[in-house]
Amino acid sequence: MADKKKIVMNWASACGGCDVSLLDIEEKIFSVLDIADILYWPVAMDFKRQDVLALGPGSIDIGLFNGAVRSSEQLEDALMLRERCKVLIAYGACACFGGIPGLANVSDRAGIFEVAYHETPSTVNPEGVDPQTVCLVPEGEVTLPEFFDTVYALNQVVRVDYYLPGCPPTEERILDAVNIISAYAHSGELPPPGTVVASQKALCDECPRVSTRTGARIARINRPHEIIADPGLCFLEQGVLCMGPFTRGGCGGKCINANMPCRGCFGPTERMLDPGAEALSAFGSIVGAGGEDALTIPEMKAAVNSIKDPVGTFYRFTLPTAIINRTLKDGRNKVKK
Amino acid sequence: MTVENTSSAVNKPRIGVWICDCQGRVSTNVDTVSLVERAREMDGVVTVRRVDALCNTEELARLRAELKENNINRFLFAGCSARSSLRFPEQQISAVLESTEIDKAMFEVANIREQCAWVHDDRKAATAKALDVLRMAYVRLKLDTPRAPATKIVPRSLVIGGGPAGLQTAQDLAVLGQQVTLVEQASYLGGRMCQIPFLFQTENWPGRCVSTCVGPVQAAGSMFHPNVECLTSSEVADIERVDGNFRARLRLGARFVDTEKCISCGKCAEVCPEEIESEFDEGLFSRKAIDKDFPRAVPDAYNILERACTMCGKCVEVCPAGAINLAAQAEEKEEDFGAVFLSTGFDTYDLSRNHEFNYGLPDVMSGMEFERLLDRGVLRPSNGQTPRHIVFVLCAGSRATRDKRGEGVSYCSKTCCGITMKQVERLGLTMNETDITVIYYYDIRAYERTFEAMYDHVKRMGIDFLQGEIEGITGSDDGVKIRVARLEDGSTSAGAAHTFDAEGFVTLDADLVVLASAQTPRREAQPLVRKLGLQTDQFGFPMENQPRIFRPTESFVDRVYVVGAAAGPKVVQQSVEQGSAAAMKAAPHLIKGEKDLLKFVSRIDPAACVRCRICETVCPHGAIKITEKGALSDPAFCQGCGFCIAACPTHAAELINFTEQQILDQIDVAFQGVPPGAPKILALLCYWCSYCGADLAGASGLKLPVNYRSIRIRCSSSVNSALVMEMFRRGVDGIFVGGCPPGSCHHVNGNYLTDKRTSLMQKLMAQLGLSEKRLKFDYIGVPHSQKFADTITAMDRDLRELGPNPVAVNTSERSETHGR
Repeated sequence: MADKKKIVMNWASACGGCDVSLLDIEEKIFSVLDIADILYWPVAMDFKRQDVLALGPGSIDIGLFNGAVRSSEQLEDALMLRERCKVLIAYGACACFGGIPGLANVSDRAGIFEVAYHETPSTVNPEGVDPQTVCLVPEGEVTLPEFFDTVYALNQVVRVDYYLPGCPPTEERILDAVNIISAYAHSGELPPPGTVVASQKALCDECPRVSTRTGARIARINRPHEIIADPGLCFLEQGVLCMGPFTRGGCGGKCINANMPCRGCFGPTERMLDPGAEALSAFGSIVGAGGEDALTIPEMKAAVNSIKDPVGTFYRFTLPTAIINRTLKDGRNKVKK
Repeated sequence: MTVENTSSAVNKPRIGVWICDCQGRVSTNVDTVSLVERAREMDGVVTVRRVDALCNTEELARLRAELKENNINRFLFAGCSARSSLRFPEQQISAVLESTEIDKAMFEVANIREQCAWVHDDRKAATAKALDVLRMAYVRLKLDTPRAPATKIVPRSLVIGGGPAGLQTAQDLAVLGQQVTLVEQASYLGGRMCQIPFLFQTENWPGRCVSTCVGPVQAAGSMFHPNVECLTSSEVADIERVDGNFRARLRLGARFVDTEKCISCGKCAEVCPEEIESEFDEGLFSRKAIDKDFPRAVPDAYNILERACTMCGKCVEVCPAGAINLAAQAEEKEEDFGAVFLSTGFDTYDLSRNHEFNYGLPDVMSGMEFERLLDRGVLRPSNGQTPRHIVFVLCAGSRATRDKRGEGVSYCSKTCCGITMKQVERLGLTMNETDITVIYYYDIRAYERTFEAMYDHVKRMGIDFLQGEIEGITGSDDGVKIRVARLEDGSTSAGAAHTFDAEGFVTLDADLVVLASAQTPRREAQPLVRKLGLQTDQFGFPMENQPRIFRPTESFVDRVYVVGAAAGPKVVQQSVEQGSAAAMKAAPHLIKGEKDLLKFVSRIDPAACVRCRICETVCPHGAIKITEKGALSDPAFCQGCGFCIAACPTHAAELINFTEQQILDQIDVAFQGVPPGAPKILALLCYWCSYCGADLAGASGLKLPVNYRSIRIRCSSSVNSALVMEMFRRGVDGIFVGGCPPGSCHHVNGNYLTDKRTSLMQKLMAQLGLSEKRLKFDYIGVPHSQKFADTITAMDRDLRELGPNPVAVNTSERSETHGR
């Protein structure tokens, strides 16, 4: 006899794709309802935050948290769910590693506001107003959440039990998560903390194209839009920087099947020290035609130097969890003697 | 194959620490007494000795005795550099350990002399650093593991190509008692040497030999040695590396003629109705489908060219020896070998690529073709008449660089000038009625004593030399016209006989043109080169191992030797020298019968490997092969460069005794003695060049900031960029990576790979607001100690200006938010 579980799903700094992905499991969503009651899901159900706040600590069985944390409100949400959920699952790449919003860490609040509220051609802001956390109006004081300088992955603000990566998570992996919930409902058993609901190996392990890899160097980098890739051939053989070797499998190779290289949304594999520097190290080694002895140093480096944006290329979904997780101000706070 | 040792004696470290005062040369600047005290406190240390000079004979004897008496299984030496000490280098340490029971992998050296006592004057600070250096060696030693058992080497060698070089290798090995299989594609032994009637020595005037004489002698040395199996008309169809050895599939051509029964009477050729161009005669003359390529061919037997034979059976009818079997079939056999010698010779440059040469004309030929005329009689192929004017063109399709027009290889084959002088000299001595002109472009390269002497001789003979560029060679009614352009720099004819016209041209009438063409890599050998995992240079010749000066014929793949013209243009004598050198290079391995594994070898964990083959892409030593289970690094071929570690996306690859854990442990203890406020500088220095360059800073009296530490890494390319990132996280303020100078990497291109990765890392660091001054790569060779000292000094200054590394601060702040 299943013990029906209480579930919540929260939406933080994310595009909304994670919420849609949960709806995309179609009729299987009903199997979730068989084993669980959904107490809170802003995108789909009419419960309010106050309803959650009213619940006591540990009163929710499973919290699904999608999105990164980049505002005081999202931080409060994270703390609120952590306190109330027995199990907290980071749902999607943004919650797991910061995701695409995490790339904002190359800037900060001032820099982002400058672009968003002043520089973009579509902005009309003649008075140069920036959002404020507190604003006095005739009716009284209105407040906005504080916008942080830094985007955080969920586990940088609260303890996380499980990770369901992907941008968004794929149906198969969502169903894995449902099965975890189901097993919990039926037997109370849970996987070990920190489990990532994905393959333990990198994507190449399940990629049908890996057998076409010859071990050749990448003489010249082709960006995905520059060539029509051969759908039967490993992207690395075609000079396309595919993040498959550096990314957990389990996604079913959705991008590869659409003839696009892996961009890394399932995040790093277990042993990696840093999600992006590993890719930098490998590509820094194999990009360039070889025969270096016969080249000048600039010629030798030309192919590697054609990588214009290492952060965007190697940390597309993972910057907040990198060793250097945001732009630093090295040398700007000099030691005073 | 796994590299593990579960011996309990090894599992429980018993560390012996020897600290050497170097008779004051260390102890003046470093308080070694305090080091002794601290060493005694280290876990697992059972013996600590401070000695005046460990390198003297009595101390060494005492060291050996005490290592045994105290059952020490790990040896830590603090003193001079293992790399550059002239009295107690790692070779000496190995010899000491060899005489005890301690595995040769189980030692580390704390270099407190060259990179400590000698470069820092402040005794207190130098002592603090020395203690850090001791700790670094200690934490590394604790995780060292003994080497796996040696790999058995198959006691048989494979020589591919039976030219002068391969024959020399085979007979030298045979004399040493080694078993050899020699595979030769042609039906005879001797290769191109047999096509060249007059051979010469390069350094000794006037030694000459005719190949009719020496060809069979050189062939007989292998042919009749019981240790050599000579397989003519055969090929190596496939070759792969298996368990530290080589597995070859040999294709033995059909034995239509039994070489033992054949008595070389020639009756078969007399009746054979089929004629075909003779490859031996470079297509200038023909042979029969059954024939002997030349009279003195070894083995002494006729052979059938399958592509020309119609199986009419006439030869079978007349053969008095019953030696012919037209039903013979090709066979294949697979065999394992412990060493491979690639002596596949050369191709000649394809002259038809250059339209200006009009190589299709019958009286325009290559130098190799002309050798056959020298043997068979110098007559014009077009009409069989004696030529009145022969023109030799040097650098035909060679040295095609800079301003020289036309297609060609960019290098100098270094043999053609000498060979042409020989050919001209032969003509000058025997054909008094024939005029000879030599057209050269840049210069005459008569660099050996013999070449110069021949050049001098032909000039005294009055041979005509003309400097210019071939504009075009065209056929005329009774010969060939050669239009020569004056060089743009205005240089003129050396011979007064020719005058350039107003437009700068002169036209010569000749009836035979000989084009001295380049020696090029053997195309048919390319699949073997690939399968063996050999690195090739930009021209396609297999590269020799670095340092090339001391490793003649050794390739980058262990026990694969590239011999003779297969490695680059050579004359016969030089090829023979290489044949002997290669045999001698291989002999120690073959005689020992096993290959001791290195302390550092890579191991790839199949649990994490996804067969992306990136490790194989970067491996310069052909050590990695891809199996169903994943990539496999063969420890007998691995040379421990660590490229795979730096490139493996999933950390499936690790370098034994140079693990990430060992390096990070070293980082964690490296900077305890650095005074507050001083930047923590880490120098990662490649095993051979850069580390020695840094050592010699001390030897030459240079002074460095006391806050730098160094790790002697394998190759500069053995450190993963993510590990560099992790070092920043652990608080290192600045990292310098030193690699060998350009062209000198011991693993082909590790220095360049690191240079590239560092550029990319710096771009990343710039994006992330971490000063690029915190990471630097440079090419540091042994003589570059001043450059090293300047670099570290400049880094110290820059880092002091920058302040502490913000990565460490940032990550420690971040960790406070965890676990809420």
